[in-house]
Amino acid sequence: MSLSPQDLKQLFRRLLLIRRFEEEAFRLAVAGKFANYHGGMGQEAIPVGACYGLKPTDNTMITHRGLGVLLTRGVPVGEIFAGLYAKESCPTRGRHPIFHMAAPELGILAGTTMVGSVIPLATGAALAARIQGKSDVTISFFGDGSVNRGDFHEGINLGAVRKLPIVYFCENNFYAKSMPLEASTAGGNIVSRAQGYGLPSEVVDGNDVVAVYEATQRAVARARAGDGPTFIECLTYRWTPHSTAGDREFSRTDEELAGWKAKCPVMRLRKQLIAAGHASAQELDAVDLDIQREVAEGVEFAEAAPYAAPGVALENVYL
Amino acid sequence: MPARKRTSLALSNKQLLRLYEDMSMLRAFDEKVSERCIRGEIPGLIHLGVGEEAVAVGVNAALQPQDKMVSTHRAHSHFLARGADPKAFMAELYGKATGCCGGKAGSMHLADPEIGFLAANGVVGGGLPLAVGAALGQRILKGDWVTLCFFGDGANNNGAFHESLNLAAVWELPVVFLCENNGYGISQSIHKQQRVANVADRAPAYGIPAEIIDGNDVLEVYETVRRAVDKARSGGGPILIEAKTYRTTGHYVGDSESYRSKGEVAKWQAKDPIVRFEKVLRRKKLLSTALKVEIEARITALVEEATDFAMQSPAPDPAAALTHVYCEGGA
Amino acid sequence: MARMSYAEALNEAHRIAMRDDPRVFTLGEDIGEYGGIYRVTKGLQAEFGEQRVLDTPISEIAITGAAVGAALVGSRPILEIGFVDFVGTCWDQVFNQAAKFRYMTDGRASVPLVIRMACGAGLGYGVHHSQSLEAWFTHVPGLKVVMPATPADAKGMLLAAIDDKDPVVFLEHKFLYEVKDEVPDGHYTVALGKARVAREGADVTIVSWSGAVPWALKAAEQAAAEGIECEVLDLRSLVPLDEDAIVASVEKTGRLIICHEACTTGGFGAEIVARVVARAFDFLDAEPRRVGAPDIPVPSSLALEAVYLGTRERLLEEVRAIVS
Repeated sequence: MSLSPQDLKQLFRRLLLIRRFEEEAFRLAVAGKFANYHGGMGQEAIPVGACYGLKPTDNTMITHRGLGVLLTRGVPVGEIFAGLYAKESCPTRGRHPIFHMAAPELGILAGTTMVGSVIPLATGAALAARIQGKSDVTISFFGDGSVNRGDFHEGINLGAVRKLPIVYFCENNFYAKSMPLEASTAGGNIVSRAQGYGLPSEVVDGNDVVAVYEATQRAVARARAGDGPTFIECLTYRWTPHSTAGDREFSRTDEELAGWKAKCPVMRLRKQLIAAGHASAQELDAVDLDIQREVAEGVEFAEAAPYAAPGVALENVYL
Repeated sequence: MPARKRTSLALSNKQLLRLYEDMSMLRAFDEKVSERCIRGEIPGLIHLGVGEEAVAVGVNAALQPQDKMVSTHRAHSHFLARGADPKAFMAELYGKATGCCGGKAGSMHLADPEIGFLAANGVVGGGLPLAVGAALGQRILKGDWVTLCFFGDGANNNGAFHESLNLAAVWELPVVFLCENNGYGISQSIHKQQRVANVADRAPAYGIPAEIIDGNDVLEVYETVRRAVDKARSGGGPILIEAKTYRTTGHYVGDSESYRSKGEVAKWQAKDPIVRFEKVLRRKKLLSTALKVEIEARITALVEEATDFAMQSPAPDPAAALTHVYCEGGA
Repeated sequence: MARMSYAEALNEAHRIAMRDDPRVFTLGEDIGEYGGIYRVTKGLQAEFGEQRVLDTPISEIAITGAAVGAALVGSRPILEIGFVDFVGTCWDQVFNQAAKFRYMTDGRASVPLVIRMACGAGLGYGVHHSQSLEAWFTHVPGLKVVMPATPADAKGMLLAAIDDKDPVVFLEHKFLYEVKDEVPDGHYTVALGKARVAREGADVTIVSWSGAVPWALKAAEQAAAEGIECEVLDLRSLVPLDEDAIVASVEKTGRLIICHEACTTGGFGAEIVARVVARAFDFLDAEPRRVGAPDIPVPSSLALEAVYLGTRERLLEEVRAIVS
């Protein structure tokens, strides 16, 4: 479970890939190249730390802010950009936002953008693994905005009472669109809700990729051993607005943002790698250039990709 | 919770006897309903409250006339305790024109705004958001009522429970959530439905204070609910009370009850809330055998009168089926 | 062939599917030892164990979502929701999730799921336990909607629904559960989307489904005594719809009546009229008629519920009227 220097460099690469991807995606969205984009800049450590140690047969279900999971689990950059451009060369053939992409071979079950709806669905995937006698674990990602929905309550209760192999993974970035957590969520914190379901829980610094990785691995081991679900709450912050659609978020302040930017998960790992002597600044800069090239190529691929023929809109309603 | 102030909560002898008579009346009424349902006179799905009378009666004794009550599919005892007219209620169960809802509601969808009984509900958990709304309405309209929301243990795994408790807590609304935990959602023991032992174990997650009480002890119910209602009325926000009780009859009239043992039922019958309270009253020398006979006679007459009224009432005019889908003037 | 009730036929379909295919499992409230509200799952837990016959909390969102999630990873869940009226509590999981996965992933994800629900009035259950909501589901592309009317169809269509790769909403009228009839032995399927001519006739086509089929047959029998020959078409499936069978019958009779229990406005009868008018207008000798419930919630009192169910009595009058 402990991470080698090589692992740490892999984590760094994945963190930076998400960051550079999102910078480009924001630029393109604002430039009108494609419609609304829900970015998660500042939250990169969560998908990377959570997914890094998974087996391809472990399942993940994502939310509307699930880009990092797609990238970390291996969906090609170009295909995701093609998804944003609504081009045919992506897993949904241009019909849907990227967060509905399914890549079953990578353990990515299609996500849903209905806040919280993913929790019962992921619970069902874990239920099926149990019935089928598989050792696969499911990770159900959701945001703080989901925790007041009935789906959260019913889904987690079901997973708990049946001791299913699942990790309930809350990415708490403290705002559901414009709604601050304390105005929407009684009880003062999210993690204490786990007690209402009889589940073990952890609160994790969501900007520390190693901490996220380790907590997830503990939870996954518990689930694989048949000891049931764990509730993980990762504390983090999105630097960017809810989406590029001009969201007004009056309750978020510049000071708050500055404080969280100082805890940048990418810079944090970069400093650790250099300080520990695992990598030089030049080496990491070279990784950065390599990633920027990958991202640029992805955009080129998407720009050049064709739109789907209109007939595609009528396909796959039924088998 | 502040220390118990028994004196301010203490009931007069007359009030104590009233609790006894009310519980006995609820029991007799539901036994009559069961009999008439088996006979085929009362249609539909009938959920009796036999064994749970102390909750309904204790709760209502703690409420003011302006307070609102939201109920469940097991609504008979709540409705009667709140002051429903037994004749109009029985006629409703019979589906007659003189029924309190004209025959449209039946057992599960009762309502009577005059007595602050907002709604029974055919959907498990359906009442919880309504109660939050009634409390929100109190705030907006600057009313002085507290909303008492009954729900069963089966409802606490429903999303409506979660969303309602969160909203009531975050808005600090005057709702008393009262769980009648009778241990079963139809055939499913609560332990098969959730990993935590008590419904009350969930309250801390919402920052809601909670108490677990003996739901077969009418005085404990009364005192706990009274303190909760007083607190909610003075701006103290929502509270959850879990009353442990048991339905000694089936989930509905006709239930096979294959999921529980006769021994378990017998164990709870030994804790019968009416028999227990009778002993309390006898120890206090408030209830003599002669008085008991008198009370029973009164109740028998009342239930018989209600049943006769229902039997003799006319069926609704078929045209009434088409009315009140939308507003027809008035409220 | 064996004579059995509709509920027993459904039970047998469960057993056959669960014996044949380890991916098949069932979940719902009180379906285990209790055997379900209508005894459809009676004895299944004893045979297949608690891991494949799951009693669930009263959490319709979670169990519907979990059934969808289990289907996404290759299971074949059969979900029981005791009353279609309760689907409102988990509607998002049905129409936004189950129905959309195939399309939004361009076919990479598949939800082979059966959602069994009881519908229909007649027992005095009142507003929350008596509705016929099939039209809601037909308005959601991605869902198949079937409503068998006989024990033999119940078994064959449930087996077909379990085999189907798409989510199938399987609606069972409460009044049909105790209806007994001959049911073929062993595994067989009745194709989804194929209507059945329940009675042949040359004068009037009555299109019906589910609990309304017996009404249509009764009216047809009464009409026959008056010299009017009705053809009764049991649709079996609303989605996919056997439009050809409807059109073929109307081309023969020239007269169309649609009889369903659900409220008339927005009912599926309107869709059928629209399609017949579009395809067989020149064959119609009279304006098509819809016979459905008045637009009211289902009242509890049997005297009032009879008004909601007035379709039964009105049907014969409509048959007489359409030929006059």
